[in-house]
Amino acid sequence: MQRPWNSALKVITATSAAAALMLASACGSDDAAEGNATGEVTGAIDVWMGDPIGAAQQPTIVQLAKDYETAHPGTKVNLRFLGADAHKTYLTSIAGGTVPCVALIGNTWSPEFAGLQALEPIAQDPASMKGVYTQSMIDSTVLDGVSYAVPYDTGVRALIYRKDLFDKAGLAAPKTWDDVLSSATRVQQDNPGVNGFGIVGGNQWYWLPMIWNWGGEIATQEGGAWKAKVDSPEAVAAFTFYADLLTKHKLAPEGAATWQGADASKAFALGQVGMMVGGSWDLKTILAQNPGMEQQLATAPLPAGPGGNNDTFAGGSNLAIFKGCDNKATAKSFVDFLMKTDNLVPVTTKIGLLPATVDALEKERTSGSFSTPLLKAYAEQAPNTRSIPPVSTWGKVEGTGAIVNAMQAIMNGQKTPDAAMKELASQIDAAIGQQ
Amino acid sequence: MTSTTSRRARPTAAPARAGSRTRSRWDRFGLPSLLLAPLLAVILGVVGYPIVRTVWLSFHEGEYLMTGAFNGVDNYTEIFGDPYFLAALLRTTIFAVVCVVTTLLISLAIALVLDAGSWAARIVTVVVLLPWAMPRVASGIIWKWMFNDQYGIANWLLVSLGFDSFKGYAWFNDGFASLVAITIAVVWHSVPFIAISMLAGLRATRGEVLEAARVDGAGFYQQLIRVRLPMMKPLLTILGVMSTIFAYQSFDHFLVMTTPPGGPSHSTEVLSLLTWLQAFTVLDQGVAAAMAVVTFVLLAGITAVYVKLSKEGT
Repeated sequence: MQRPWNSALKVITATSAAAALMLASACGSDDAAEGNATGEVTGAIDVWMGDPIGAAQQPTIVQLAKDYETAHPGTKVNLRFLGADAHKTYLTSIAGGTVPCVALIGNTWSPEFAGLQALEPIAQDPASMKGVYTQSMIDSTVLDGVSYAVPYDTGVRALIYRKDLFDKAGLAAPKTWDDVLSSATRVQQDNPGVNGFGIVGGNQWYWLPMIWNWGGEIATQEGGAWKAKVDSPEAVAAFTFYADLLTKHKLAPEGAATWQGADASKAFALGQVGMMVGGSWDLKTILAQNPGMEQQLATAPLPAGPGGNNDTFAGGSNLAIFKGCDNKATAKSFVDFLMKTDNLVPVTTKIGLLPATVDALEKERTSGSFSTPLLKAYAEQAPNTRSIPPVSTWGKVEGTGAIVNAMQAIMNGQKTPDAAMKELASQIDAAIGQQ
Repeated sequence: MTSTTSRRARPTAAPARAGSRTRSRWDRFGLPSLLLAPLLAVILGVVGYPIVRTVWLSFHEGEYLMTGAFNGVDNYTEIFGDPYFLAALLRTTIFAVVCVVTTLLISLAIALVLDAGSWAARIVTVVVLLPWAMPRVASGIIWKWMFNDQYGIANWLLVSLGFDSFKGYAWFNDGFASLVAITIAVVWHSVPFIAISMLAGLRATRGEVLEAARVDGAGFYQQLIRVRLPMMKPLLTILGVMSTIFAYQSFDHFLVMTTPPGGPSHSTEVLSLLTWLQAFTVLDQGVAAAMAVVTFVLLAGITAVYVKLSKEGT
């Protein structure tokens, strides 16, 4: 465990080191601030990792760091694990000027930190990364045409359903959202005590991508400025469809309007849900709570909407190098080391997420941990993903719960879908509009 | 009486000490100031500086945890032009009134039982204190579970009592029902401290005055309302101020029990929560500071009213 006074000491040493560096640069060479200006891979770097690297994955990372130090004599990797509160820790460190060299950051934070001038560019032309990483994950690293991070892991959602109940009714896995409605209604009718569909009203990532499925957009760029599109007929129809599953068709308990993924997983594990949209982590939760269910459930890629696609949001993390790092050569070399397929896959497998490189993804899909019948759907879904608008101020939209509030206003009839989506559009514009 | 005599006595005493006038001034002001200085410095540092800094921040741009340019009252015009902030202001006030009244009444009832009780009451006293010892986030999570629509004990209890409409009732789908659940959780958490303080107050009213009232034939309610509560007025004022501040600052329960925080659809947003959202998710320190200042001024005003009311009575 990292003790608080250790980090305080670190700040003090870092500050005095910076002061010494400034002195050195004042006396001598101009590029002393770069620290390792020669580009030699040597010396120490600070590496911070937050969620999803938890207690279970930390030993793997610690071992990788040791392997790296052995392979590169003279280097030292100082690891720090941040847990679930990482976002605030990074922001505070950016504001205070005590950033790490390498950091694993949530992919939606990448444009935000880049907008704060905190990250070192990775590629001036993101097109050069094409084919190496999952495309939506590349998109998540880009701000104003420059890529600021290296995609690391990807989390996607797919359809989890009760195969036993579907077989009994002679139903196949739904291919479209209309199929979802009809088969969920049927399963609910046939099986008392089972809800047709696990609604997750409290978490936008389970249904915001339906806007894409209906052929709409969350926001588009018009002459440099971002403009919300959530009040388009397609987006309104998508939200209305999802709200109707709860209010009109009553395919979930009314409390599902505030459910989180964990609530739906729990209900599923208790045998009370026939079908839900869920990530590989949700599947893991269900099976951990009810191991006997493995024989009864199956997964499939997400259903398509009227827009003709089944795209979902690519969650995940990126590796970034901070601008304030004084040993960028070693930082870059360590990132390259972590991205090697043999080093990447053991970590992502332990997390239960997909690797973000095309090479490693293919390996996981065909022969790795995602080649099992139950997980294959996730690997197949991975290419059909998109990124949220890469805007530095997206955090304002996400953090205030504006999107969830809009869905709930529709669900409990507080506002008409049109009015709720119009309000959401103006809130998104206010947050990301002035670019 | 005593103060007037001593004040009158001073001029006569002064000539006697005229020779050591400088020393006496040092004794009276210099030395105490010197001795108090470290404490004053600490108080200024930990109380004064944050307040001054917050007020200062509220007049500046403050995006991304970085303090920007002076922007006058822009932050204030922004929050007072925001219908959700105004709704939260009203909601917080109503919530606080309900919380304070309920807390004080329940606490008084518990304190009276404990005061009347024998040795057994001492054990109960410890039990009563338990909720106070529980971290608020933990109690929030437990209460959220108790009000769960599917598995919660609240719905089970209500259905068992014959209120069938509570079968599967989703408390947190609706702003009013959410606030009822949160109020119960907050009151549960704040009662112990107030009850124990009131018990101490009630104990102090025992003695000659109460004895005299009893001899005069005052019943239980007359003793309580005519004698004991008036004697406890200064204490009740302080408890009123404390529970008001406590209610206005309730944050943990709102954060933990509602989804999204302040939802559904903005219906449980309170001042503390909006301030936190502005500071740590919208990352606008300026607007957050303005909200904090509004809360501060409001609470200072309420406290002043309490103090005035308690002084008028005596």
